[in-house]
Amino acid sequence: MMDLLLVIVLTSLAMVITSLVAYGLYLYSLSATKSIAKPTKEKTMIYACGEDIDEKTATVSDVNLYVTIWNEIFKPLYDMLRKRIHTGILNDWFFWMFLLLIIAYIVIVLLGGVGSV
Amino acid sequence: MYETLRPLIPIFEVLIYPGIVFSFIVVIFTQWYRRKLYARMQNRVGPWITGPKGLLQPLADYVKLFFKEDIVVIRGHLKLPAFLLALSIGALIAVLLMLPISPFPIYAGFDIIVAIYLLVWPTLTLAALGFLTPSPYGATGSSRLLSLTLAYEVVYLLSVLVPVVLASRYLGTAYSLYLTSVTSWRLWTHPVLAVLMIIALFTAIISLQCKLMDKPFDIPDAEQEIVAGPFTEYSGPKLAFIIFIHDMEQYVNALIITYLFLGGPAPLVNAPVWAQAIVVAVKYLIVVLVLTWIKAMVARLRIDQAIKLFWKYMVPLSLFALIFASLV
Repeated sequence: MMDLLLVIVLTSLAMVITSLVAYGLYLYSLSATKSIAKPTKEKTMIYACGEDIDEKTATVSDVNLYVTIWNEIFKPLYDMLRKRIHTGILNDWFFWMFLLLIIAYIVIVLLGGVGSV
Repeated sequence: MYETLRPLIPIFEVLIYPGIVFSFIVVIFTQWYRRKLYARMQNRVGPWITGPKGLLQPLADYVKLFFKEDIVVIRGHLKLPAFLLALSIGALIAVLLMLPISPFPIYAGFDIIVAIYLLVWPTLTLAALGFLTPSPYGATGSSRLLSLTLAYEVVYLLSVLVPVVLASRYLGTAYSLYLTSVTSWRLWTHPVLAVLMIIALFTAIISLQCKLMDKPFDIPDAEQEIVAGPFTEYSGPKLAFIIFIHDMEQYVNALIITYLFLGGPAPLVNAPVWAQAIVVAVKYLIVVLVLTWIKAMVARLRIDQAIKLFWKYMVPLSLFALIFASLV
């Protein structure tokens, strides 16, 4: 059996060789279609719903989109946690932290303690 | 003679078999097979003009796209997407070299981590494409794809690990993709392990359907809502690469399922190589048939429904299988 590092090196080499071939094909395609491509303004414009829009309008805040999906999907979970855990009372917060600490200790003890790692 | 040619074997593997040339042939055949099946399930004929029974239609489509103009919208990147797509094709070819399909497979203990890493490359590339052009459809599609990735990739990872963990514990395969692939058929001989394998196979197929962005998970490129999602602004050779990566993902992952879950050439493990190849090909085509059948049978889910499906049912199910695989 090989060393894992050798596997990483070999797969990386395979990846690079294939990528060079594929990228070379792409460059060939670019050069082959250069003569038939006619530069016009309309081709490079951004369209949405059949209308051209400026690039500022076309750019959506990706972070917002991404976070929104997760927030919407796990809303019932957030609401439940907020209602039960996030009471705003400091003593409740201490209780949860203490509980987590106890769980962490139990897990560490069950796994054999820190010294055995 | 053999010693002289030996340094050329890895180059042959990457370029010819099971690398670029062989993969291209398999991809063309698989795309034709899938299109034909999908058409028959919808009471259509499917491709039938180019080549015998339309067999060369996917090739004609690739050639057509390859020689079309590569249009880049204002502020879009010209060469960066093509470079990322080329790297993804490389990642998938590299995974093939780690499977028994390769005459001289690359393997080591814990190489499953490398394989999983390489399999995530295409997904992240396809997600990046949407952000590389200023298009609301592209950004929305990529955002959806990234959200889905955090759901299905977890399930796919957990599912693939089940046979790997079981084989490592019982057959001493040291968490290697290749060694697990050649011994996984033995796991079906034990009833408890077989149950775990069935659960993992089920979750792997559902998560693979999502990885391939096929119905009911074609949410990132839902054409009625966001045109083609991350791929809306791509044309010509880049679109050919995108379609090729989709087909390659299907080929490589279906092959992984064939080897890891369905036992590869079993029951003909001691038969000649050609007989083993036929068994693997038949199992591979059955996996593709199941994926196509799901695609033809169901309608698209909403993004929240899909993520809930994975986190509520698929993650616990695959996690249960993996925990039991580690304990039994």
